[in-house]
Amino acid sequence: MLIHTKKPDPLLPARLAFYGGQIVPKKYVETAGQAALNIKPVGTGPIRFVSWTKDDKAVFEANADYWGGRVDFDRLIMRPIPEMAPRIASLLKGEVDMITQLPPDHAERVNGNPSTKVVGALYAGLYVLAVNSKVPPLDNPLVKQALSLGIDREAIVKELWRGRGIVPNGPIAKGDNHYDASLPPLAYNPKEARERLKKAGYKGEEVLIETTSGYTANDKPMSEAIAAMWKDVGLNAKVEIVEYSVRAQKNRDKSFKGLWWSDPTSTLGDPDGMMWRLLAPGGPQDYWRNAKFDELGEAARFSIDEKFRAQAYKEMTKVFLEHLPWLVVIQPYEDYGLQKYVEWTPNPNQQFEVRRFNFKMRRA
Amino acid sequence: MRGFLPFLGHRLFRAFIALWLVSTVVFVVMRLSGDPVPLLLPPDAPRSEIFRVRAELGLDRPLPVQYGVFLANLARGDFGRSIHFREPAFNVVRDYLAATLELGLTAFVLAALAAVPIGLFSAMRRNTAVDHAAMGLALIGQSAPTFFLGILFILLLSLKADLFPTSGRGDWRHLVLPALTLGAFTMASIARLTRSAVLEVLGADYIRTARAKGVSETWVVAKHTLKNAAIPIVTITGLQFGTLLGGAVVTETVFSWPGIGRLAIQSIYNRDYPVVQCTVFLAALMFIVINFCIDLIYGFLDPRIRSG
Repeated sequence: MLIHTKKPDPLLPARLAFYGGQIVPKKYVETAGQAALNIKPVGTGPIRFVSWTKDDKAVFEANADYWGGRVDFDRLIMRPIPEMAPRIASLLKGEVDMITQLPPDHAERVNGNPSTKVVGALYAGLYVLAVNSKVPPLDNPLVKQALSLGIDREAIVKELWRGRGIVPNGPIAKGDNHYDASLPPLAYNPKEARERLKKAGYKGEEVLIETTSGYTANDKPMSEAIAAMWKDVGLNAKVEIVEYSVRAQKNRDKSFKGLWWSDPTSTLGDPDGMMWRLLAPGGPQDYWRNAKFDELGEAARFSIDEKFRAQAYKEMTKVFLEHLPWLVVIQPYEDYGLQKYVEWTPNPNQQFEVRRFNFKMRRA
Repeated sequence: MRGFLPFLGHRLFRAFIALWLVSTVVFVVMRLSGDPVPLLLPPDAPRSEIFRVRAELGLDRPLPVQYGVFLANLARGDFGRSIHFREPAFNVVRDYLAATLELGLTAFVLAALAAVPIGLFSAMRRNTAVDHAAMGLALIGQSAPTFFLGILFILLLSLKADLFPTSGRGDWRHLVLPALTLGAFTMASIARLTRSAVLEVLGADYIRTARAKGVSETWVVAKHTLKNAAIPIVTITGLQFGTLLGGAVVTETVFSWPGIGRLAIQSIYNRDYPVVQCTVFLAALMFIVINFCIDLIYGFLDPRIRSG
C-alpha cells in the first residue's frame, strides 16, 4: 500500500495506529451508513460486537479468525458502574474481572483483599491549568511565573493523589518522544513568587479558576488547594465551579475568564499530538501567541529529521516555561483494579489492549 | 352514578391543562439552558459546521416557531429526534422506561405491602416497645439519605452476606437491593401516616359505639377503622407511587440501573431537549394518571367527594 501525503509527516505510523487508522468495511458503510456503523460496528479487531444496551452493557465475543490469534476469553462485557463504592464492591466480590478509574485512596483496600490487585500506568498526558493569557493580569508572563512558583506540586501529589503521580518538568509528558529528562521538576518557591508579583506590578487583580467537579480526577480539591497556596503568596485567587456542559460551551467559545482544568492526552506519543495540537494557532486552546513558538511548532510538525525536531521541542519548552500558556500541575498514574488471575498491563493512553500478548486469564 | 360524567370530564380537562403547562415549562427552561451543538461537535469544528448542525436540528428558527412545531408534533405523539442518540426521543425513553417501571413497581409493592400492616400494628399497639421499634425504623427510613442506604445495603447484604449482586440489571436478585433502597422512604412515609390515620379513627365516636355494641376487635379494625382511615393512606400511597415511577436518580446511579432518572440527568447535561421533554412529559403523565385513579378511588371510598 502506498500512502501519499501533501507534506512530510513524521507521525504517520502513529496516526495509523490511532483514531483515523481504523479499517471499516466500505460496502457496509456505503449501504448502511455511518449511523448504522456506530450502532452495530464492524471492524478488523480481535473482538466482535454482539450487542449494546444503552447505559447497561456492551457485549463482545472473541473473533476466532483474528489474524493475530484468538484472545484469551470468549466474551467481553463492559458495564458502566458510575459510582465508585459499588464499582469497587463488585470487584471485591468477584462479580467483575476488572474495574477502571480506581481512586488512589482505595488502592490499599483492593491490594489488601486476598483475591484482587491494583495495576497502574503513568498517564500519557498531563493535568494542566490552561491559562487565558489575553486577560489581565494573566497577560503578564511574570504573574504566570509567580502562579507556577506558588504551586506546591509535591504536596498535591502526596496529599491528594497519595503519591500516585509525578511532578512534571514542562509541557511534554514523561514517556513521550522528546521528553527531556535532564530538566528539573517544576519548582515551588513562594518567596520567588512574591518577588515576581512585585516585579510585575501586581495590584491584587482577581485570578479565577473555573473548575468542574469530578470531570477530571481531583479537579475541585486541586483547585481549592492551589487557590489557598496562591492566597499565601499574596494573590487574589478565587475558585468558581462550573457544570460540565458550561465548560464545553466555554471551550467552544474560548470564553474562559482565567484558568481552567485540561487533561490533554498525548494521542500520538509525541509533543505534536498534545502541546502543538492544542496550543497551535486556531487550536482549541489558542489564547496566547509567540512567533518563535509558532514557527518551531509548524516546522517540527512537517520535518522527518528527528534531531531537528528534538531541538525544536527543546526551544519550544524554553519559550513555554517563560510564558506559561499552561500551568502544568501533575502527571498522574491511572489505576485499575484486577482479579489476581488476570494478567494485563494498562496502556498509558487509555487504549484497552486485550490481545493475548497483553491479556491472559490464569486458570487454576 | 349521578354526577360521574361531569366529574370525569372535569378531571380530564385538568389533566390536559397540567400536561400542557409541564410541557411548556420544560420547553422554555431547556431553551434557556443553552445551545446543545457545542456538545455534539469536536472543539475545533469550524463555524460553518456549527451553523449546519443548528439548522439540521431546527434550532436556527425563532423560538415561537420552534414552540409551534413542538406542540404540533406533540399532538401527534412525536417527541422529535434525540440530539445525542440520533434516534426518535420516544424510542430512547421507552428503552429506559421498562427498567424504571420494573424498579419502581417492585419498590412500591415492597413498600406498600410492608408499610400498611406496620402502621396499623403500631397504632393498635400504641406506646408499646413494638410501636417504638417500628416508628424508630420508619424514622431511619425517612431520614437516611438514599445514597447512604444504598451503599450500606451493598456492603452488608452483598459484599458481607453475599446474598445479592452489587449492581446492574438482570434477574430478580438484581432488583432486591435497589428496590429496598428506593422503597425505604416510601415505606416509612406510608407506615407513619397509616399509624396516625388509624389512631385518629380509633378515637372516633362510631368506633366506641361499635365496641360498645360488642363488635369483635378484628371486625372493628377491618370494617370500621381501615375504610375510614383509607383516604389519607391512599393519597400518600398514590403520591409516593408517582415519585417512584418518575425515576430515582440516586438509586439508579448507585446501582447502575438504566432508568429514566439517570437518562433525564444525562440528557440535561447533553442539552438533549427532545429526550428531556419526552421524559418529563411521560413522568408527568404517569403522575397525572395516578392522581386521576386516586380521585376515582376517593369517589368510591367516600361518595360525598364525587357528588361534591
